[in-house]
Amino acid sequence: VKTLGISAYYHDSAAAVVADGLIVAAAQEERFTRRKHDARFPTNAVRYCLDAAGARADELDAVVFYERPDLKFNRLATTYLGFAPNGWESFRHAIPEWLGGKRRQDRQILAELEGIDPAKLRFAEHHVSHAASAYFPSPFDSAAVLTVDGVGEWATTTTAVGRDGTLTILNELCFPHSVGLLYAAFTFYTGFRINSGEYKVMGLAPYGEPRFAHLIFDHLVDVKPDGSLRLNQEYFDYCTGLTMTNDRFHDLFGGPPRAPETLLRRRDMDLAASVQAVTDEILLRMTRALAEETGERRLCMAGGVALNCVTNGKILRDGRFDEVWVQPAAGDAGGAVGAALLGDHLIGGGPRRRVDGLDAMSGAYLGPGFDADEVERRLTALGARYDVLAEAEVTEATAAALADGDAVGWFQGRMEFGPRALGNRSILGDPRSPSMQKQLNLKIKYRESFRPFAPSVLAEDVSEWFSLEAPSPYMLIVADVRDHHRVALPERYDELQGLDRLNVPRSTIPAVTHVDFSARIQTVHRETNPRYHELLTRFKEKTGCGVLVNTSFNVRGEPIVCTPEDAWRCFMGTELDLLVVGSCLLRKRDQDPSLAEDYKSAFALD
Amino acid sequence: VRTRLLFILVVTPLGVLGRPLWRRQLGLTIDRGAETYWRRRRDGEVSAADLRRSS
Repeated sequence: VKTLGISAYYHDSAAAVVADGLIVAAAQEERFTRRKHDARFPTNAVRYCLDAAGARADELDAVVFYERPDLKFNRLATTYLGFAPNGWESFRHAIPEWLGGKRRQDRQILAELEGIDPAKLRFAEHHVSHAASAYFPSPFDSAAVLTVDGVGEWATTTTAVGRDGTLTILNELCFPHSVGLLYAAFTFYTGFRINSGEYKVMGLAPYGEPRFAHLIFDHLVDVKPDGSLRLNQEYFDYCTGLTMTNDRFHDLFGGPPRAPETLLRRRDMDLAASVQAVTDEILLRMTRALAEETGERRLCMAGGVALNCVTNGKILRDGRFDEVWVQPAAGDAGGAVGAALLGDHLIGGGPRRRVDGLDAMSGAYLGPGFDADEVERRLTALGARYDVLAEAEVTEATAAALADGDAVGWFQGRMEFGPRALGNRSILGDPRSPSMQKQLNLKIKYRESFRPFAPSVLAEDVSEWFSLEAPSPYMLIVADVRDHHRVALPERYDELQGLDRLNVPRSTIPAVTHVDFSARIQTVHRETNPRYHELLTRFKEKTGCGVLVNTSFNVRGEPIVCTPEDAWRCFMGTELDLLVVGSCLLRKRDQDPSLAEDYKSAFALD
Repeated sequence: VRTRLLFILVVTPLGVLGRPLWRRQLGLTIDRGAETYWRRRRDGEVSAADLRRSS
């Protein structure tokens, strides 16, 4: 039984194929088209997934789309009716598209997938797709399930329980009441892009104080003890307008939204800290109530808000659940995996399958890979000069370069599915270097200086470095650097404000220690990524430190690299010192500089 | 023009006439005294019947 899952037409289009319970392939369209958050039908991702599964479209047993356009249209219509005569601006932008055919997405999808029997095309609810992506691939037989995002059709948050391979939805919160939209409102208000800048707000929060949290609770949101909530629509614009917040919101917080790319002020940091604190509190109330209602000791999560790894860490430490598993592609792209799994289990009768006793995501390494001959052929065609190394030499030479302070592009095996690079499409650095964060942010990633970097750590060493006893293979849990790795802060540190604290070393691994001593941790496991595990082991042998800086292999605004060509362009266009593609090692000093393209301005800022 | 007419002649009158209904459906009232805002789903296990054939 082979099932194709598709998410598309909002943001982060993706495709996934499940065959007899096994997730064979999954990829986001943006990686192929090189257009960040590409929302168009995922033609390239579908083609890749079908190739990986060895199937033609007409051989599929089912195609499942990740949401229900009929319910979405119903929500839009009800919203316009509820707010009329207000709402014209939004109405005139949205409705012509829906009346022009967007509501009949079955026709669009069938037109894109030639040869598909229309009877095989199905539509799942958005949050049911998320819940399926959270529970079915998890390592748990039974678990509570929480899905939280901006909005799907009507639902914005869903609680469920998964037991013995079945999924039962328990409760939901519906539009316009949404934790994701509350967070998005502050993302907009602090000058970042919604649906992509939420990560920056989370990274900015530790620089500020949550002094606006009480205003949010008093005016914007009524939260019950069980975490259910309503947003006071008198302060928001998203039901009727084209932005997230209105003048009343701006008056409450003392001014208009920050213009994008302008100086970050203390107030923006405090706003970020405040919405993060409110989100933490809401999600903790939700998960405590869910633990009580279901009696479960394990929790699965998905939906865009589940990418908030600060909150995830707090949920884990809260202790209501012994284990927490978050779908690595928790955002809408992951809906494609959930939809495919629903089709496989419910239509095809496929079993739940886990790989090697772990979860069923294969380390999230579900995207395209390139064999050694293919890599060499492509690099040669690009004019690259490289050495081909033996297996052991690859990790040895790379570890030596990292220990010498080089920034390394590391391209191995199959591409990750989801927003995080997990050691196959990564830029790596030495976390002990006090200058590494600045070097990577300003010379290689070309991104905002305040943004922290994440550590990859040998799974067996995680509790030596961080206050974390659980695995975090998908970089979705934040925990603190252990006290014995912290260094004394300079006198008068407390007098420093906001970004002034950025350059003060706080630990023996300063490049991955945020200003509040937290770190967004990826535990690296030999079972899912042996070569990356070997690299960390070699680095530890040389330095005593089984930790590396791991950031996605791209520059700001660019989708993570997919092919050796993408990696080459990024390598040549930035100040990366070394590129390792499979067993091929490329030194910057050996390359012809005339082959470098203008890379810094090649991508629109996100 | 058709979109504008639709908004003025259909959406606005229907919206105004049915305002209590729409606002209840959207849950636009903050109810400080309510115990919960969760909506209970009573459709049981997710099954093949939940995968709809048409959009």
